[in-house]
Parts: sequence; C-alpha cells; structure tokens
Amino acid sequence: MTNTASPVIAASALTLSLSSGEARVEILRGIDLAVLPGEKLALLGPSGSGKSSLLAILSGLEQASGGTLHVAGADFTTLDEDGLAAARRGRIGIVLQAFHLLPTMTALENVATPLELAGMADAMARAEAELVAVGLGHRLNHYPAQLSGGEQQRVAIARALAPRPAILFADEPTGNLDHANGDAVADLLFARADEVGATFIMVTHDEALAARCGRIVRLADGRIVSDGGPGVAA
Amino acid sequence: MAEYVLLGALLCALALALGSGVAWAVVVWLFEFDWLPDWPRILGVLGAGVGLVMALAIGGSLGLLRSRPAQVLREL
Amino acid sequence: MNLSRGAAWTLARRGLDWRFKGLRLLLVCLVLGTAALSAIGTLTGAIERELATRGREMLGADVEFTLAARTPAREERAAIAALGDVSEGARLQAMASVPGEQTRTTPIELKAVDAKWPLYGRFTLSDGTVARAPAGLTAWIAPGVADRLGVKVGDSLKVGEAVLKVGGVIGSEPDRMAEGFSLGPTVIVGTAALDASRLVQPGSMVRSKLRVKLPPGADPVALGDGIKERFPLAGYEVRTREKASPGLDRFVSRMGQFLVLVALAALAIAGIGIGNGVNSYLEARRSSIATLKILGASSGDIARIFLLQLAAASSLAILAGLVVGISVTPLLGRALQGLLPIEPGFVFDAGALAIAAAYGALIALTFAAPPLVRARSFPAMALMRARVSPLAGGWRGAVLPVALGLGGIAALAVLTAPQKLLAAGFLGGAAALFLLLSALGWGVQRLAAKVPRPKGAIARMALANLHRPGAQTSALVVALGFGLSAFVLLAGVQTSLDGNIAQRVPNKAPDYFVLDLPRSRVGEFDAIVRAAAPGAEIRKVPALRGSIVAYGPQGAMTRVADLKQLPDNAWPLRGDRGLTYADEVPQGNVLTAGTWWAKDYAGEPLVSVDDDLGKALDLKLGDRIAVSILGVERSAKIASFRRIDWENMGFNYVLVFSPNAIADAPHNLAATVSLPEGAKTPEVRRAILGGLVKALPSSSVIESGRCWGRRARSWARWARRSLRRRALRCFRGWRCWPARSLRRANARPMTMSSCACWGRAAGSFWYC
Repeated sequence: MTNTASPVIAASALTLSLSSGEARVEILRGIDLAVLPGEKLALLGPSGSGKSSLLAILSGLEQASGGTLHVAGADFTTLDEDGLAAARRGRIGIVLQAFHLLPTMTALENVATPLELAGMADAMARAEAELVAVGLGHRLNHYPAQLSGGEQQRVAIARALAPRPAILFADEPTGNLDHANGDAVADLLFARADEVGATFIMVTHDEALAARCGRIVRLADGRIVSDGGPGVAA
Repeated sequence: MAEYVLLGALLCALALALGSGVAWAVVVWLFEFDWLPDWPRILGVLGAGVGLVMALAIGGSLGLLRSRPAQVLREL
Repeated sequence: MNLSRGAAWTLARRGLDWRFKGLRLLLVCLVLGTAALSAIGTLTGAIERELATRGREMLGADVEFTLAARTPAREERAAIAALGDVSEGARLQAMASVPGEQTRTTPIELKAVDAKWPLYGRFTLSDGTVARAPAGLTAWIAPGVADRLGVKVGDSLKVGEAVLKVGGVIGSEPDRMAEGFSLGPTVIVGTAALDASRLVQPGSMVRSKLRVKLPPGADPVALGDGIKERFPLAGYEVRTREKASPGLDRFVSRMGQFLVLVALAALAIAGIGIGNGVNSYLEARRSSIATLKILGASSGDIARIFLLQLAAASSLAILAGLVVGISVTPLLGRALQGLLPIEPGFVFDAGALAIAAAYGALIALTFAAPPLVRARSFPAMALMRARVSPLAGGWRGAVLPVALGLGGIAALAVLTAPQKLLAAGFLGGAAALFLLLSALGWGVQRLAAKVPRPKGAIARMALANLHRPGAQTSALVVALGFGLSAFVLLAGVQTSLDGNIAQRVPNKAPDYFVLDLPRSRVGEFDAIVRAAAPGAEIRKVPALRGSIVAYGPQGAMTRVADLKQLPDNAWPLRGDRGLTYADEVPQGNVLTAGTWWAKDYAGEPLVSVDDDLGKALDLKLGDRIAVSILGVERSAKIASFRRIDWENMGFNYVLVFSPNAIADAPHNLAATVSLPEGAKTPEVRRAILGGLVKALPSSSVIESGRCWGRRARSWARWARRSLRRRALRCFRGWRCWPARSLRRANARPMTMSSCACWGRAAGSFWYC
C-alpha cells in the first residue's frame, strides 16, 4: 500500500443540517477529510457526534447540505438519489449494525442481489464463493430467520464485499453481537477487506476495535476533533 | 374508539343521503318505477353494514388490545 | 443503468412471499370483484345471445302479425299468405270448468292453433310425446289446469259452450316465452274446438295471430313493414324474430348493465381496499426497499420490482376470479333455468372474461399506483434512523398511472355499456362521491386539528387520533362512506322494487274482473251478483279495441304510420289499445281543460284525451284524433283533456269518446265487482263465480283476490332472493310490463303492478 496515490474519498467543508419543524439542527459543521486507497479508518465519537451521518454522506446514502465530496472518482455533491445509487453499485459495500438482510431471500440470494443489481452475469457463482469465504458454505440456502446473529452479519459482510467494492463502509458492525461473535466478525471483516483490497471505513464506539484501524478520526459535535493520521494508532 | 363512533355516525347520515339519491335515480330513471323505499329495511341494512365494519375492526385489533405493554416496548 | 427485466423479475420473485402474507386483502378484493364481473358478464351475454338466436323459436315464426278483436280480412290473409308458410291461430281469455260442477272453474288462456303449428321448435306433452295441434274437440292442458280443476287425461273440460276432452298435459311449448303473461294456465285447442266454444264473437277480446315462416333470405322486418303499409288501418301489431321478446331483451340488458355498475361500485370499494392493502404491504417492506437501495437499486428499479410483485399477485387473483366466475355461472344458470332461456352448463364467454380481467387489472393498477410511487422515494437513510414518519408527498408521480387507470375504467365502462350516457352518469356520480368523501375526510382532519384540546386525556387522544400524522381518517371516510352508500343504494333499489310490486295494489283492487260481458246480458249479470252480494259495487264500461292512426289539427293531421320515431311518452300510439265511450267523466278522472259533452249528445263525434298524451303529442282543444276500430277509421274532435289517477285500479282509458262516436261498433263490456267487507266469504264467492260461469259462458271472470294472494306469496319468496334473480323471475311471463311501464309518461306505479298481475290482456284496461 502506498500513501502517494490520490485519495479515494475527498471531502471538503462538508455540512449537514436537518430541519425539524421550524428549527434547524446542525449535524455536521465543516468536515474536511481525505482517505487514501487501501486505508483503514475508524470514525469514533460519542452519540450524536455525527459519525453515522458522516458515514451516510461518504457512502452516498445521504446528501450533504454543503461542501464538496468526491468518492471513487464521482462527484457526490452533484448526484441525485438515483445517481448516488448508481455510483454505489459495485463500488461501495455497506455493512450495518442490524444486518438488514432481505428476509424473503436465502443467504445465497441475499449475497447475489448486489451483483445482480450491478448487472453481473455470474452472480450466483460469485455469491457462493463469497459465502464459502466467510465460512458459510453449508448455509447457502438458509433464510435469515434460520441463521444466528453472527451468521447473519457474515452474510451481510459477504454481500457487501461480493461485488469487490473499492470502499467498504461499516456502521457499528459488531454492535448487535455478543463479545465472542463480535470478535469473530471483526476478524473476518478486516481479513476480507484486506483480501479484497478495499478501503475500509468503520463507525464504532469501541476503542479496541477502532485501534485495529490504521487511522482514527474522532468527532464531537459535528466536527473532527482529532485525526490520528496514517499509522498513528496501529 | 369514541372518535370513530362519531365519524361513523356522520358517515351513516352521509351514506343515507347519497345512497338514497343514487338509488332514487336508478329506480326512477333506469327502471322507470316509482320511488317506494322501505326505510326500516334500508336503515337495517345500513346498521348491519356499520355493525359488520365495527365487528371486523374490533376483531382485527383484538391482537393489539391483548398484547402486553412490556412485550411491545421490547419490540420497539 | 437500469435493472434488466430478467433481473427485476428474479428479485421480485425472491421478494414475494408465496403465501401472500400482506397481500391477502388485495387478493380477496380482486378475486371477488373479478368473479362478480365475469359471472355477470357471462350470464348476461349468454341470455342476450340466447334471446337473439332463439328468437325464431321463441316467436314460433320469422314474423308474426297480431290483430285485436277480429279475424283477418280475406285480402289481408292472402297478402300475408304470399309471404311464406302461414300458421293461423288465436288467443283469448276464457274460463274452464268441469262440466256439471259450477264451482270448479278457473280462468285460462285459450290458445287455438292450426295443423301447421308449431312452425318452429317442438311441442311436447308431459310424457315426452311430440305433438301438434289437437284434433277435433281434444285439448292439451297446462299442468295448472289439471291441478286447479282436478282433471286428468281423458276427463272432460268445458270452455265456452264446448265440452272438450283432455288429450294430454303440456310439457314444453316452444313459443311460450313470446306469448307473454297470461291470466291463467294455457289450454291449447284446434280451430274446430275454438269454433265450438263460440267464444269468438264480434267485439270479443280475441287476438288473432298469423305466424309466418319465411323462405330463406327473406327480411322479416321489411316484409312486416310492407304489410303494415299496405293495410294501414288494419291495426296489425308486427313482431319479428329479432325482437321476439323486446321487453325481456331490454330488461336483461338493463339489468345486466345495472349489475355491472353495481359490481363496478363494489370493485371501486374493493379498490380502496386494494390501495390500503398495497400501502401496508409496502410499508411493511420499507426496510427491504431501503436495503435494496443501499445495495444500489435506483427508485426505478424499486418501482419495477414491486410492480412485478403486485402484477404477479394481481394476475393470480384475476385468474382465480375468472375461474370462480366461470364456475358459478352454471349454478346461476341452473337457478334461472325455466325462467329464462339459458342453457345449463359452463359458458365460456371470452369477451366477458376479457372485460372482467381488464377491469380487475385497471382497478389494481389505479389503486396500487399511489403507494407504489411513494415507495420509490423511501430513502435509503430510513435504515440509518430509527423510525421515519410516513412519507408525505410523492403523489405527483402517481398522477399519470392513476389518470390512465381511471380513464381506462371509464372508457371500458362506457364503451361496453348499451346505455353510454347512463354509464357515464354513474361514473361521474361515483367520482363526485369520491371527491366529496375525500373533501369530508380532509375537513374532519382539519377540524379535529383546529378545535381546542379537551381536558380529559382520553378525549384528547381520541381527537388527536383523527388528525395526527399518518391518521387513517381520510381513507376511513372514503372507504366507509363509499361502502355504506352502496349498501343504502342497493337496499333502496331493492325495497323500491318490492314496494312497486307488492305494496299498493291489493287494497284497491276490485274482487272480480269480468271480460267480454255481452251488452245484451247485463241484466242477468247484475242479477247474479246482486243476488249473491246485495251491497256489491258494480262498474261496467264498454270495451273496444283500436289503434290511433292520426292526430293533430284538422287538415294537418300527423299519420302515425309516417312517424319514423314516436315522440317521447307517446306510448299510446304503439299498437292497439282499449277504447271506451262514456256519458260522464270517468271515476277518478279530473278535467284539466275543455268541457264534457252533455248526456245524449248527438253532434260531431268528440273525444277526451289523457293530459299526458296531449302534452306528448302537443295537442290542443279542437284538434282531432283518428282511430281504427275493426279496420274502420273514425275521427273525433278533442273536447277535453283529463288527468287520470292511475292508481285507482279502475278502468282507465287514454281516449274516452262521446257515445255517438264509436258505440255503433260491435263490442262487449268489461266490468269490475267490489264486494262489501262482510260479503267476502267463500259461499258468496262460489255463488258469484258459479252463477256467472254458468250463465255467461263466453265471459271470463277473474277473481282478483286469488290472483293477488298467489302473487303476494310468490313476491314473498322473491324478497328472499337476490335483486337480480327476483327481477329476472318477474320477467318470465310478464314480459309486458317493462314495455308498458315505459310507455307511460311518469312511471306511475299502477302500470307495473297491474301489468305484472294482469298481463297484456287485462292490463289493457289500465293502459287503454
């Protein structure tokens, strides 16, 4: 990995304000952030600090109110909802705390879905390979309700990484799991991100988990209060 | 529930006016007969209709009414 | 890049719960709606087709010429005989009795046929024998005659002055349907028996019939018109195979249309259910939709995936509805068999099924579009936040599909309706109702938000329930308002039909109606009635038949034969009708203009005209009306207009002449007898009926109480049946009533009621 490449994420003066009735709530107040390809970055901060909102904006799930943002070569500030969806397709993987598997689909179908949305021909074969890689080769045709929490999160990881995304986002990936399962899932997440070669950005409360990332960005009250820089917290 | 009873009464009155109007048109214009409604029977049908809706509505919310608060809170 | 169709279907299929959890409301609504529409369409279509294709058999001819109160003249007969193969016959009311037993009598419909009858179809006796006209003094009797008189094959039966031998019981009579209502069961005799009965006398209420079998390729309508033109004064009523039963035809089509509109209303209500069902289905899938978006699905992809799911469920529901519709049709057919010309068994009417399926699909599209369009805009962020309140807005995208769906429904309803204006009116009404209810729902919600907060917690919550975000107030008002209005509509229509048929008439009906009372026997008649019931009220009127041939100012009269189309409400111009003359204003009539002629008036012939007819034809006092009685044209000056109380159950005539105008034509009298309350005993009734039948064998005596009682019982049975079945049953034999009732200006109840009971022959009293 080199640090001389141009950033895969370049954010400048990002703001997010939401209106709630008459009042406007400032959630992000000018975020400048550059993330290089292959970097592993943890967003840390107390509740309400804006870390999940920042992740949503960086992953194209939400549009910033102001500032500029370029992700994987696309100018996110000019794209509408559908444009962002297209930009995510195949390039961005997202793992959420509550797994969010599609309940009417088997594990295999869940993993194949983003591949199919991206128009990939051999979706099923690739999905199967991905599930085998996360250790669920024996659970291909099980429905989410038939899987344990840890297994569900593994399916979610396989689903996020199946299209070989340039960037993998994770929002509290172990938040819904017990300690043992959480550790196992975290190990898997880091290992698979490495194998795929994806830039990895994770939101967490967990200092220990954050410490496994090469860079820690701390937020408070919608602002970056510290940026560990590459290699600082390794 | 009280608000829906009130709303139901309002709708009954409206349905009586509108339904009778259209029925009058059908009887007098389409069939070319005289308008000789049997009001007790019409009111009976209307009452039965409202009763049916109420029964279905209450039947449908029985599960909701039976559920224990703690369980609901846990699922939130 | 949008999702390919194949991939969209793959995702849609995977997303679909094949137990249809969450979609069952949609399925039930669609299945029921489509089933109702397809059954109604199939059945109505089958009956209409049957009426069209069986017209020739029903009429028993290609063209039929009917003449009232006389037999055809020689040149008329020759002209009709030149058209093709002719079978001649007659129909009249009569009384049948067991010889020697005065009390065993019953009114019958005497049908005389010649050796060529039936020209079409097969006449069979109850034992299955195929037969034709009975020979000599033999008679075929309907089962009703056998029941009422207690006679069987081989017994004797007295009709008029003839003693007939019962040769067999009628099994199926091919032209029964076109004969219309009869006062009693049928007795079929040959011409020799009719002559022997001596019932056909000058002025008697006989209807002569000439049925013609045309050579192939001949046009019955043109040939029928030709005869009417050649003998404009003869007063022929012409029916062709195309219109064997116009009243029934019209009724079936109107009833079918009404039922389609009812089913559409039901489907519209179901549509609201469909909309709500789809809404809650998609709300429940909000998480899945957001997940798909996170995985890169665009809003178009989401719409496509869920549209495919709904389309799959709707298609299955529509298919199931069609299967149910086809399956229930034979059951309906079986229930109506014998009442209507429907062949039992499955009917596969591709057109009706296609229309029902199209309605189902359009309703599903129309009502599913708004929630579907809203679902497209569920943001992916919904997952990142705990809960998102129901989404407002997003309706603009639904405007096009909803407009297309509603437009399609309206176009389909109007294009497939025989009465396009009515269908359009109904749809307009439904739309107006929908808007009104929506506005009301909105108003209630606004009002609830504006009123001051009540102090009690429960009242406050109740109020808040009506206007809080996501409150179902509007949907509830629309759905419940629509549904309850439909209930009231159906109940109103049904009870009104009941009321028209059953309620008014019996109280006012006289106890006996007597037809064909010879003028020379009036003294005997009075004596018999008075001897049995001294307080009886007897009314007698001269009964002639004739048709209006011309009307208008002298020198510029309009010939009815020249009219391309009858003016509105000018029903008396059609066919022949009863005519009478009187010295005084008839009971229950009120003069609205002009004066009545003096007793023993001997000047220019005068006539008094029904006010409604006067208005319909724009007649003035001093104008003239010409009628044809027994082939002779007679003209009279209009001396007055009258308003007729059609409910008085008496003799009501559109035209009442001064005696000097028509009294010289051969004719009999008609009479009503109303018994005083104390005299309505079986003994008195037996004495009157027996005495009259014995003394006046050529007259028909109809005991109305008996008829009403019988009808009332059958109406009570109807009341338990559905609107459709009831109304169809009503038309089995009483085909005449829609035709007659529609002739009237203001749809007076008498018309239908009396016609329903008395049919065309006796009914002529009321509508003359």
